[in-house]
Formats: sequence, C-alpha cells, structure tokens
Amino acid sequence: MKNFLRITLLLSSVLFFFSCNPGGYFKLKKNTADSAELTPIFKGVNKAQIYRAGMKFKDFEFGGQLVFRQMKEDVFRVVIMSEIGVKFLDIELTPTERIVHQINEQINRPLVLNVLESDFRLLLMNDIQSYKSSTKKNVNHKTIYKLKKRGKGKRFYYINDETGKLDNIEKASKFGNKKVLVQLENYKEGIPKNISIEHFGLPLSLILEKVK
Amino acid sequence: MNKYFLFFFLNIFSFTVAFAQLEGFSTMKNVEAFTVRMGEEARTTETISSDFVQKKYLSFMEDEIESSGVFKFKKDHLLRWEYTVPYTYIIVLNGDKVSIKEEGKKASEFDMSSNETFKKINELMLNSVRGTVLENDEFNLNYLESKGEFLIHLVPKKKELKNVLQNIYIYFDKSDYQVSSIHMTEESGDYTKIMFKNKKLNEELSEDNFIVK
Repeated sequence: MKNFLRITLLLSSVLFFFSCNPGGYFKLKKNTADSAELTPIFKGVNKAQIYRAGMKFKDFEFGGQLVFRQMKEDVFRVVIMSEIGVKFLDIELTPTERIVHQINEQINRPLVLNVLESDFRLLLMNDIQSYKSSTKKNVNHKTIYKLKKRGKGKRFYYINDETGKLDNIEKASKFGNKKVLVQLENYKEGIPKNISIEHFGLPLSLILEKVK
Repeated sequence: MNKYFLFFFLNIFSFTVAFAQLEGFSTMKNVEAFTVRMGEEARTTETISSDFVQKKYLSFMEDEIESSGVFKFKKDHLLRWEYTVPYTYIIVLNGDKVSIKEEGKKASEFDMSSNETFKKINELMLNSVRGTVLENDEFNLNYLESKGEFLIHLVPKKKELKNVLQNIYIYFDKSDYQVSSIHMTEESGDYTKIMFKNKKLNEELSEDNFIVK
C-alpha cells in the first residue's frame, strides 16, 4: 500500500511537471527580437481569403466555408457559413474588440465565441502589438517568437529559417501548458493552402483548405 | 414538381432578397389558377434532375463566391444536392436521415430529429411531399408575376427563422411552371442566388443516387 502511494505520488509529480512544461518551451533563451519583426501572414492581403472548413467538436462535425478579409489596419472580418451559403457567424475583429455582425442561435454561446475569437486572433495576429516580452531563438532551423500578455498566456510563432514561412503557432497557458496548436502548410504566394487548428484539453479541431 | 424545389430550399437554406429585385413584378392576377397548376405539377413529378449555379454575395467582398453542381429529387423524400465546383460536396436527405459526403472522406450520417433546425426542415419537407407548400403557416406568402415569370415571396413568421431567412424569392418560368432561380437575402444585405438550368423531369433515377459512402 505504501509503495502504491509512493508510486502514485511520483507519477502525479512527474505528470504535473511535464504538463506544466511542454517540450521546448523552457529551453528558450531571451534574445533581442520583438513582435514587430513578426509579420502577420494575412496582413496587407487585399483580397478575401476563402477556405473550405471542417470543424469537429466531440462527435459533431461541421463542413462549410471560412472567409476572412482585412478591412483596414489590424481589422479583419471573419465569416463561417455552410456550403449552401447560410451564415453561422459573421464577426469583425479589431485589435481590442469583437463586433458580432451575425450569429446563429445554436452557436451563440460565450464559450464558443471566445474560443473561435481566440483561434482567429492566433492566426490573424492582429493583436500581437499588445503582447510583450518577445524573444526568439534558433532551434532546429526555426526561429521562435515568444509573445506574452498578462491574462492571455503565451504564444509561440515558429518561422522556418529555410523558407521564411510561418510553420506552426502554439498557444500555451501562463504555466506553459500547450492549449492550441496551429499548423500552416503548402504556401502559395505567401498564403498557406492548408491550416489545421488543434485544441488540447478541448475536443475541438478545425481543418482549413484554401478554395481560391 | 415546383413545390418540391420550393420546400427543399425553404428548409435547407436561409435566404432573403431585397425588394429592389421585385422591379417589374406586380401582384399575381390569378393565384388560384397558379396554385392548382402547382399542385398538378407536384402530383405528376416523380423525379427531377437539374444543374445549378450558386452565387453568394458578402458585402465586404469584391466578387461573389460561385459554386455549381447537380440537384436530384426522387419522390417521395429523396434529395441529393451535389457540389462539383470548386470541390465535391454531397448532401443527401432521406426522410429523417441526412448523409454528407466530403471529398476524400467517408460519408457521415445523422438524424435530423435530434436537431431542432433540421427537424423543422424535415417538417417542411413533409409538407412539400403532401403538396401543402403554399399553405405553409411558417411563412407569409406574396404572389407576384411579371411578363415572363411567376414569383413567390416568402417571409418567415417566426423569429428563429427570420434571424437567418429574412425573405425568400422563388422565380418560376411562365412557359413551363418550372423553378428558374431562388434568391435569398439576409438582413445585412448579403444574399445567395441559385439558378437552375438543364432541368429534366421524370427521368429514371436509381436509388443509388441517394446513397453515399
């Protein structure tokens, strides 16, 4: 019984330690970069970007389209709609505000809206100027930008040193727990064709494929 | 047959259209004759196949989002809505069951009765099968006509529907009483247009068309 308790305690400690320190985060060393060096991928793109979207939450799957467009400096419009044109969500994101133009009653829940807003901001990067203590480090041919903001946790942007493209984005809690992983692949004219957003601790994922 | 189109879109899509689009139309002179003819069309139509082009307008975009594909219906309750451009996406309705097939993925299926929205759609579908579409009390109906077309303007009565469907306008060709297009606008001014072409009636349609794997 004593041994069982010791093993349980040890396992709990190990699990706690690793859950608070996902691989790589704690190895970052401060450098001289700042978030201004990080270029948002959709900034300055005049045309609306249309992605085929596949969303999965638990056993529920939704297929549709995601459209976003930069309206002005750091202001983006984001629309999620079904294949047949029914809008589920139409929001505008400024660096500090979320304006809901239209929302389907079925998804009109603060939690859903907050998660979607957080994911879109992670991708659109229109609020990074408000993040501080940026650092970077060359690790495995990638330059990592670490952004922190009080109450918002941490973000990690991984730039591929060979291509200069943004490969991954990670969001973590202030304790370092990985919460969201965004992967961006198959760039064409500076825009990723494939984007995946995976949540940790939340059974939610989003797969995007560029339509045109 | 026109009723089937009508009900399908009433239930599956959320649509509205600006009154400006009604230019050239006036109140229908003989609603009863139109209703009787619609009923006849519904009774005698066993299958429908049609190509379609869909255009979605969002106010913040320069261009409409265009897609196209094929629509198939088989009496009493089988519907297949297949997008082929810009990518393949198939929706099949069979009674309470909805099957969705995406390119490169296995088909998924769910029961409409577990979802209030789809349940409503299902009820509307049943109304269409029963030939009571024009008597549907979920909408206020306006009957209009121009030189070449009939137009039914539907306004949802209930708030839940009105939030997504402000107006639905269904255009019928006067020469054959077939649906030529459906326009749906939202409160924001955004809209969806669906235009039908190459319609074929009562051609043999295998039930395989309504099975996706």
